[in-house]
Amino acid sequence: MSGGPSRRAALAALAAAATAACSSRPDGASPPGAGGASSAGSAGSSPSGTSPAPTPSSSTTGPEPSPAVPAFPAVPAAAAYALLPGEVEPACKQAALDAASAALTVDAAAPSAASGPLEPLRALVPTGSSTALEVVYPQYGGLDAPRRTASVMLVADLLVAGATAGTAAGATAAAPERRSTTVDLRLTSEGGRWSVTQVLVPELPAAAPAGQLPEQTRQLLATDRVVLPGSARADLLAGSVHPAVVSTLLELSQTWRLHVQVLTSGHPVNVFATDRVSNHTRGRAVDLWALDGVPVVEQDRSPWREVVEAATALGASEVGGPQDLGGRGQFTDQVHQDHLHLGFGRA
Amino acid sequence: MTTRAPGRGRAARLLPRPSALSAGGIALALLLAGCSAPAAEDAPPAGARSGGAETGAGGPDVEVSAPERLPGVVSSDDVATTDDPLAAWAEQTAAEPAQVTSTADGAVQDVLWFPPAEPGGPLLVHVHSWSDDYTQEVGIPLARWAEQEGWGFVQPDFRGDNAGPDSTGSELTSQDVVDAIDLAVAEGGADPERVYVTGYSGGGMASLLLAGRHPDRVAAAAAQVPVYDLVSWYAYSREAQPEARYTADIEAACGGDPTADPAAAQECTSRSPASVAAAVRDAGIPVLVTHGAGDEVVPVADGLRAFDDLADEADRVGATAVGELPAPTGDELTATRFTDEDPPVLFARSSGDVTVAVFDGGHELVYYPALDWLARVDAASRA
Repeated sequence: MSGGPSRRAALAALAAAATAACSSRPDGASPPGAGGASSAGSAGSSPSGTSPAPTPSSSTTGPEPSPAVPAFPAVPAAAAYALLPGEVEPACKQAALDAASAALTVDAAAPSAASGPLEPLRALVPTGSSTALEVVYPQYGGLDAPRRTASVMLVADLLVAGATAGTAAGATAAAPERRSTTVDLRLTSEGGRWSVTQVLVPELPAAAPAGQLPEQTRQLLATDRVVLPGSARADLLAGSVHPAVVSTLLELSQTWRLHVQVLTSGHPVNVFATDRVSNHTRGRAVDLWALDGVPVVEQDRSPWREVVEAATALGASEVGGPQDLGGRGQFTDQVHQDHLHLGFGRA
Repeated sequence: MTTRAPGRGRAARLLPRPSALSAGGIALALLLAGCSAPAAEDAPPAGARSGGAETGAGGPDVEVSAPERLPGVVSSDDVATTDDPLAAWAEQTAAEPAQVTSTADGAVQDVLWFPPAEPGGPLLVHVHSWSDDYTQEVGIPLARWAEQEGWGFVQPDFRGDNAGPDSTGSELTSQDVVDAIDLAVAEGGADPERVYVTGYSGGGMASLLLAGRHPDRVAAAAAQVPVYDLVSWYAYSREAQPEARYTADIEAACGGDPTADPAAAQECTSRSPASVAAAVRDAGIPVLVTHGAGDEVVPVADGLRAFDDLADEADRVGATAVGELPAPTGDELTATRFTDEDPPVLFARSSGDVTVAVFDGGHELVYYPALDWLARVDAASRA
C-alpha cells in the first residue's frame, strides 16, 4: 500500500531530495517562480499542449522548507479549470474534475486522498512527491441517453514536485515536472448527483523498435500543428494507429491546429454502454477536443463544421460532431457535443 | 397508382457492375455515377474526392464526397423488371444464389448474397415486398451500393410472396431472414452486430417485424412505405383497391376477414408490425420510416402511425394526412438524409430512435436516403 503514514512519506522525501539536489531536470523547464508558482499554462512546456486558454489561479503551496532540513516538496501550483459554457450535463463533468483533482492534489507529507474507486490514481503519484492536477480537457467517452452513467476521459498534466533540499542559504527546488495524464472516469448519477464509481488508468503500449515507425507517423509526432497528449503520443510511438488516421491528421493540420484528446489509450474499449468494440480500440479513430485553440464545445466559435467536411472529404467514414451536417458517415449525439470523432471504419 | 415526383426518369435497366468492366469501363462507370473508387483497406486517404460542395471559408481546398448513386436511379420506380431476374442479378451484381435451411421447420429458402469486403464488415439485408420474392430486382441498386461500400448483402426468400399462412408476416418469415443473416455471418464473416435491414411495402413490414421479434439481430431498420397493421390495411384495401390481391392474401393468411372474424383479426394482429412496436422501441433499435404522401397502395397514415408508436409521446404526430403537418426544418431534413436528388420531403420528425420522412411520391422505395441513413447509424455505432 502506498500513501501510508507520513513517516514513510518523509523517508521517501529524504531519498528524493538527495537525488534532486544532484540533478537537473532533463526537460530544462524553468524553476518555479516566487511563492512556488509553476509554469502552469505554458502551452509550450506541456506535453499535453495544455488548455488553449488556461486560467492561472492562486497557488496552493505546501509548507516552506525548514532551513538546512530536507523538506517535503510543496504541492505545485496548478491553473484552475472552469467548465466551458455549453457543456452537456456539466454536473457530471464537474464531479469527475472534483474527484480527480482531489485525488491527485497530493501533499507528500500527508496521506493520499485517493481511496475507493479513485484508488487507481495513486499509482500516478511517485513516492515522496507532491502533485497537483492541471486540466487540459474533460471529454465525454460516453453518456447514456437517460444521463445516468457516463465516461469522462480526462486529459491533464500532473504536476509532480520531487522532494526539495532546503538550506539556510536558500532553498533549491526543481520546477514541477509535467506528466501528461489520461484517465477514464466512470460516473453514475443517483438522485441527480453524480459520483465517480470507477477509474481506469490506461496501460500505455510499448514503443515500436526504433526505425520501424512509418514516415507519416514520425511527421505527426514531430509537428507542433497537432497537439498530442502523452497517451496519444504513446499510441503513435507504438505504431498502432491506422495510417488513415495519421495521414488525415497531417492533412487537416495544414489548415487547422488540432488538439487531440484520445487515439486508443484512455478511450473506453467498447463503445460506451455497449458490447461493440470501438474503432478507437482498433487504432482507427481519433477524438479532437479543440481546433485552432477553440474547444469544439464552443460551437459558434469553433471551425468544427469545416473540419467535419474536410475530414469526410479525406475519407473518414465516421465523423461525429455537435450537429449532423448530413454528409456521409456524419452523425451527432449528446456525447459528440464536445469533440469531433474521426473514424475510419472497416467497411 | 402511384404519384411520381416531378422530373424523374423512366424505369431504366441498370449499368453492368463496375467489376464486370474493363479498367476504362470502371472509370467511366464511376464517372457516370459521380463517385470515386473505394480506397484500398489499408491505404491512407488520397485526398479530395470528386463531387459535392466545397468546404466553408477557411477550409482547405477539398471537395466533399457525395453519396454514390447509380445514374438515373432514385427509387424503386426507376428499376425495370425483366423476364429473367436472376440473369439481371448475375450481370449487375456480385450476388450469388444459395439456399438456407430454416432452423424453425427445415424448409429450404433461396437467397441472393455476397459477403462484406473483409471480415467484420456490415451487412445490408433487403427483404422483398408483398408480391415478390428473393429475385426482386428492386434490390439490385441496394446490392450495388453494398458492394461499392464493402458491405455484405443478403436478399432472402421468406416463403415467397405473401399469399398464405406460412408467409405474410409469420414467425417463420422472420426466422428465415435470421437464418439468411446467419449464413452471411458464418460463411461471409459479416459482423453480427452490424446488420441493417430495409425493404418497402411488405418488405417494410418484414423489416419492422424482424426488428421487433429479433432485436438482438438487427442494428437498425429502414422501413419504407410499410404495411403496418394488416387489419386496417385489409379494410383500406377492400375500399380503395378492391381489384388488388391484398384482401385475398390477408384472408388466406389470417383465416378469414379480419374485420368480421375476431380470430382472423387476432391472427392478423400477430403478423403486423404494430404488434411489435413496443419491442422495437424498448430495444432502442434506430428506425427510419419513409412514406410517400401520395401512396395509394399503403396509405401514408400507416407510416405516420408507425412513427407515433415508436416515438416519445410528446413527439407523436397524431395525423393521418400530410396536409395536417408542418413543413420540415433544416435539421429535420438533415436527419432524413434526403437530398436535392431525392423526392422533396414534406414532413420529417425525429424522436428518440425513430425518424420519419414523408416525401412527395408514392408507393416506392427511395434508395439513397435509406442507405445513407443506415450508413450513418453504422458510423455512429463504432465511435
